[in-house]
Amino acid sequence: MIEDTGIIRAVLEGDTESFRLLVQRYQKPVIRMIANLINDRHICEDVAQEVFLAAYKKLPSFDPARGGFSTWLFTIARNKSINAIKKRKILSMSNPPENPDFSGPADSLIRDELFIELDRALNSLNPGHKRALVMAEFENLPYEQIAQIEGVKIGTIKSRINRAKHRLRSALEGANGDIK
Amino acid sequence: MKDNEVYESWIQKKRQIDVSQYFTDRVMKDVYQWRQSRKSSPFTIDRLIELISFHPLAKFGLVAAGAATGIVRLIIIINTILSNGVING
Repeated sequence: MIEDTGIIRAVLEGDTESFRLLVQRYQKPVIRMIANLINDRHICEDVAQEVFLAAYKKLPSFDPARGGFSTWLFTIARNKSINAIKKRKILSMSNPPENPDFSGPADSLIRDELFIELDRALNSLNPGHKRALVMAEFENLPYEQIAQIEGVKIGTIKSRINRAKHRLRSALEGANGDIK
Repeated sequence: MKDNEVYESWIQKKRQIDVSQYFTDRVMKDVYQWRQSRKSSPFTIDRLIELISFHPLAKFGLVAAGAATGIVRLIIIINTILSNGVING
C-alpha cells in the first residue's frame, strides 16, 4: 500500500487523480466521525465532501513534520463539523435517535431502548467531551492524536473521555434500572 | 442485560456507516471544478487570501509591510506635530 506522504507528493506534483486514493482511504472514518458529531446522517456526506475539498485546497500547507495526514484531515473534519452545527443550527436533540425495530424479540427491544438512552446521553454531553469520546470510542484514535486534533493536552482528553464515559454509564444504569 | 455488553454493542452500532457508492466521484468532481475555476480566474480575492494563508513568506511580507506602513505613519505624525510646534513656538 502506498503511504499517504507518497500520494500527497504525487498530488502536489500535479497528479490530481491520486487524490482519489486519499478520499477512498479516509472517506469512511471521516463520514462516520462527522455523522456521530453532528448527529445527522443525511448531511454528513455533504460536510465530508467539504472536508475533502478543503483538504485538497490546503494540501500545499500540510506539513508531515507536524503530524500525520489523518490527524490533519480529522482536524479539518472536526472544524467543519463544528461549523456545520453552528451554521445549520443542528441542535443536539434535533434528530431523535433512530426508532428501534419493534419486530424483534424482547431482549432486542430492551437493547434498542438502551441504545436510545445512550444516544440521548451522548448528545447531551458537553461538545468537547462528545468529540473526545467519538474520536476515542468510535474512531479508535489514540489519546495523543485526539489531543493534537483538539489542540489540548493529553491529560485534558483523558479527563474529558472519563467524564463522558461516566455520564453514559450513569444514563445506562438509570435506564437499565427503569427497564428492570 | 449487562451494562458492559449493551455499551459495547452500542459502540459497534455507531461504528457502522454506509458510504454512498459515488461519494469519491462527487469529491473528485468538486476538486476538478475548483481547479478549473482557478485556471479561468487566476487573480481573485480567494487566491490572494489563499496565497497569504498558505505561504509563510507571503504572510511575513504582509505583516512586515503593515509594520513598515505603521512606522512611516508614526514618523509623519511626529514630524507634523514637531514642525507645528516649531511654527507655533
